[in-house]
Amino acid sequence: MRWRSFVVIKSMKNSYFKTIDAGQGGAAQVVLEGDWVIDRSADIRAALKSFPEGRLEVLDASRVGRMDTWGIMQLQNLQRETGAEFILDDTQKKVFDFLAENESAPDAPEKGSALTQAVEALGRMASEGWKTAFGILSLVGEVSICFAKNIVNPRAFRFHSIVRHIEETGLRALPIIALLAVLISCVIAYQAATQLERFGATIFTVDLTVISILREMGVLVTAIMVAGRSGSAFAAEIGVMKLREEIDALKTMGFNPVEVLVLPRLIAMMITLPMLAFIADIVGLMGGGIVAILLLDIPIDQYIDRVDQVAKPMMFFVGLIKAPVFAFLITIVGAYQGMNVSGSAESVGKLTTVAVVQSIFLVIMADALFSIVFSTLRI
Amino acid sequence: MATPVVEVQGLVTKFGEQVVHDHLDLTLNEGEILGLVGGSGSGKSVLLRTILGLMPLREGEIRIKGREGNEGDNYKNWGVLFQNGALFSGLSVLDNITLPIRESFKLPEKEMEQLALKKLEMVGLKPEVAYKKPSELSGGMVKRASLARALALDPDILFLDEPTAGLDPIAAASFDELIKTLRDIFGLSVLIITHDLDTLTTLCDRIAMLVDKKITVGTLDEMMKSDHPWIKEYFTGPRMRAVQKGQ
Repeated sequence: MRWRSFVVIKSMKNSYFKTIDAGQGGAAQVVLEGDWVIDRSADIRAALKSFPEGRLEVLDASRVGRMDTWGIMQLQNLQRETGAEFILDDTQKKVFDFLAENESAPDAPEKGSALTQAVEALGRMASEGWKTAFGILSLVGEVSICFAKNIVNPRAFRFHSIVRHIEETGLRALPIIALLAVLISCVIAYQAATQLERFGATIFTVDLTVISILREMGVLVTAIMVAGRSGSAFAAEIGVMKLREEIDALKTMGFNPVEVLVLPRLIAMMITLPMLAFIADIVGLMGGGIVAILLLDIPIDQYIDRVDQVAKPMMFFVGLIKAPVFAFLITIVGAYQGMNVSGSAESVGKLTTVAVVQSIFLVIMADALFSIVFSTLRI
Repeated sequence: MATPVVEVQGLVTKFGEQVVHDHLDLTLNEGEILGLVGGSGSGKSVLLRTILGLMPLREGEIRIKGREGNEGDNYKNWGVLFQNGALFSGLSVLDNITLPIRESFKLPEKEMEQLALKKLEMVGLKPEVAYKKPSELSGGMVKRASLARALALDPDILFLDEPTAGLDPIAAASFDELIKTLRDIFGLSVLIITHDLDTLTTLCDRIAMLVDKKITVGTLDEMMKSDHPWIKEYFTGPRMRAVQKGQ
């Protein structure tokens, strides 16, 4: 009489499955037990290391306690690997049938070597840059057309809107610009004084302060602060309007969004930035005065005299002429990025940042170009 | 004989190489309420935006009131209610409504205000709403305020993009009633993009389905008899049957 001996082959401390060998080289049967849940995943994975290799005939899962989605996944994997037949109770069967095996994940797109990726990234950056340049040029054209149309019919300008923006970009910026101008000029004057002391030439501190504030720093610092304040505000305001379909609504009502939104901001900025720069110049000279009087013991009337000697009208104009140009750059970049917003809050945040960074960059670049031009013209 | 006020013929639109509409035809007749339905992502909003000129078309023709194209003065012919209202968030409700009026007509302030309040009355909003900002309004009020703005210039054509989405059943029914009344009194032609089965069955004269990148159009009864699998499922599925049972 042949006995079929059921031998428990592995009676380790493993409480998650028991292997039952049918003897005589028959396929083994594995009985699963315990809780196959993700909380026990570490233990189960350890136990699975000693799972029998090769084909199995039967996988009995009906004695399993609790089972969650992870557990079911494991069992499905086991079945796939061993080709065994499952024994399940009714509830388990329902769940198993419902969670049919997923198809394998789609192949990750071919990435190519690091070099290819780098070249691709470079190409993408270049094409983005090209697109942005075109887009901005296009916006400049559009704004110019709107301006030209309105200038022959001045009542068409949206004065209410322009005035509101003058208040927002100019009046409300006044305190911070003034403060910034004082601080910057103090810093410049102090640094200059420290160096010039060696040559006993501290009086020239005044010269340096006056020249750098009037020609460069007054306008530049103002423009950078305004870029941060108003450049981001424009991008965000217009961007959120784009998000809420308000720009589309304008178009369907026959409005030109550039004329309604961008032109008033541009006009306002080109009025306020020069004024702010002017104030920054004045306050800056005062700041230099503070350092001169307190630190260098230059009496106030001597300071004023020296300033009078050094400051030439040309310096003032050289500084101020840049202001409208900076205003133009900041507004166009801010508005352009706002119009480019698409679909999500994340886009608004990202493009607002880009607007500020780009406008500050362009301002500084324009400043450099002006320097070159002026020095060539010996102004 | 029905006079078409909006005619779309042979429309092809694409995103890159992906075709959204494939030689699509659609007609909105004078005085009718046409429901536009389709699965999510089938291109309903794209179709509306193309008709409005917000998106370019690759091929085909769009005629509004017999005039080719959708440039120029077309905005005087239509009013649009966008999906989330798209009220100008920086302006009060009153200013939202008077904005289009101000652009085209010079009226004394008092008269403009009165006109705007009339529009509010037309859509069933109380005058107190006039000075609120859009952020202070409830969902139902936003939709009505947007409708008031869409009606500011007394257009002949109304485009509504999912007007009852997110409204409670009472507000939605009330909105449907409002559209019907406005159509009956002013002779409006209305194109409604909607998923609202109640709107489709009670309000719409015809239903246009965007399926397979084209339009299949018919009355409710005609659609219910359709053989097309998707249309069949739409009109004979459990939800539609429940709605019809309730009527």
